[in-house]
Amino acid sequence: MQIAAEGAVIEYAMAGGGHLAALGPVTFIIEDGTFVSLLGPSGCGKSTLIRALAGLEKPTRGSFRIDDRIVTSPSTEVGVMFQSANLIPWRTVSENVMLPLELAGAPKSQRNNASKRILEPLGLSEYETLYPGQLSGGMAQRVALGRVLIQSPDVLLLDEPFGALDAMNREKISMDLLRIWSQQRQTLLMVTHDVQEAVLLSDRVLVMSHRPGRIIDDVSVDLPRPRYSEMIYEPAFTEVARHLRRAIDRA
Amino acid sequence: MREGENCERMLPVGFCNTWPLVMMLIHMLAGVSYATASISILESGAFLIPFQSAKKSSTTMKADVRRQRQKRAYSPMLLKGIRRLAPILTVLIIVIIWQGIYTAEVYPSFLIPSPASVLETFVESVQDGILLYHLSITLQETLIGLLIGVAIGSSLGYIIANVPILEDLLSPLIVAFQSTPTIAYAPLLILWFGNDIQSKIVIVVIIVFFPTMMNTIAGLRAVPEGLRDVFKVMKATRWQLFTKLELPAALAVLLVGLKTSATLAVIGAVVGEFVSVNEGLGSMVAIARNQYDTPLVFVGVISLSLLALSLYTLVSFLEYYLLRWRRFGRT
Repeated sequence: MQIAAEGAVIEYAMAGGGHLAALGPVTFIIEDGTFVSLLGPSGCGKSTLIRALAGLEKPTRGSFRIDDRIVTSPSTEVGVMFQSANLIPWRTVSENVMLPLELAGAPKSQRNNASKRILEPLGLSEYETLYPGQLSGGMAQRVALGRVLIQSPDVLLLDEPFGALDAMNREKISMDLLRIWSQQRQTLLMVTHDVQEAVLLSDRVLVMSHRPGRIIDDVSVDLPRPRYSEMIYEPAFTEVARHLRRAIDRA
Repeated sequence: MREGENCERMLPVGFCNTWPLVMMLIHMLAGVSYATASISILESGAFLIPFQSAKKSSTTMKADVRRQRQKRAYSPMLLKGIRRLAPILTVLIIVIIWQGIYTAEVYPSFLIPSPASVLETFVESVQDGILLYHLSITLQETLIGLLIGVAIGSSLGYIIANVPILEDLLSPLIVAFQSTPTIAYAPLLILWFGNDIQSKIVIVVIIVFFPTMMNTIAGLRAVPEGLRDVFKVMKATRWQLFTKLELPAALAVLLVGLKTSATLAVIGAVVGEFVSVNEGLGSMVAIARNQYDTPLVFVGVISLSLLALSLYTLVSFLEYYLLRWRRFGRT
């Protein structure tokens, strides 16, 4: 599925009257099955953009589109992952992962099978019966990823999903994400503030300016796939990374 | 009435009556519920812990406490045994002091009867069915009132949490109602709802309703926006949001509050029974007091505190089972 923004602007009404411009105008098209990262300084409206594409916010002007559908409300074809895992504390790992199927009214046996199928490649099989309070931050984000993947979305919107994790965990989980994505080829838009992560994972990186965020650079990453973590030491990698670094500094 | 005559000779008129004693014991019962109320506030804070990100410090603190405890515990098995027996020991000591006061004749026996006579009266009242009859009445009032109070309180709490303007409209009325001592308007309620159990149920409902409502609102407000977003992006219906997120979240706080409400409910029922003496343990106590049957007063008061304690324990078990996820902190 294709993700697009057409002159989209988001403004918030302020308490004392007037408006706070949070985003835009932004215009872009993300082609079907590509992995795109969104880089930008904090507070530039990256999260707002993700929320709008998820159908949680409405643009003040312009529009967001997923394939031919103008986004006005959430859709089960779109999986969204937030900065914090947002797991439900009274549900076990597998009960959390099953939630989307449960809401869709899937029978219990189907839910159980799906949960097993999803948890295995995420390395969570042993943790099925644990409660979120027992999980580490990295594991909690894996569960959150599983909960998104179980509804087999065609579009994945990830809002700094690994931002709160330590470097080691971060690399492991992002490589897992890359592996899962390369098998299923969803259209994926991920917000990050980590240049290396953006380059290592993506086909293309969009750079946003300070608030109100606009797209100020659009860089293709022509590194071969499958990607692997040592790639960060290759000249082709560093060249792209340096270019992006400069673009962010100008933002 | 030998004891009554004694009384008038020896003591000022006010003391003839066992009323102060009864009131003192009732206050003790109330004291239990206030104490549990403060505990439940702490616990409702604990409910928020899984939702908060800064929880590492509290777990390390807990670990420190645990380590300290382990250091002191030279024989864990023995210590555990002593700790189990400790409450029984307390009761035993109280009974011994009680017996001592009786034997030393510090107070006349119609004020403080012997433990043996209280036990005897207890056995008698069980045998002739009086105690169980009155207990069943009080239990009915308490449970029915509790059920209705929780139902109304949680529904209204849910509505108020979702329609903020209602909170502004209703809060003066609710707070005024709540800060007026129940005993002040109890006679009015008895006038309106009659002498039977209905009026007492109404009193219980009024007492239980307010904390339940406040807890429901607190529970719903404690649901993080992030979790609501998760449900929204999964296209949950309003009903699913209610049954799978809001209700379980509110339940956590509600159950903690219910422990307080259960003991408050007993107080409500007894207040009603005191104001309109008819049936129930409160009435039994009131009648026994008028007849200077102090042992029966003791039996009534002790039964009431056992009733409140049982309800409290029952709700605690319910909480232990339903909120078992809370026991798993970060590892």
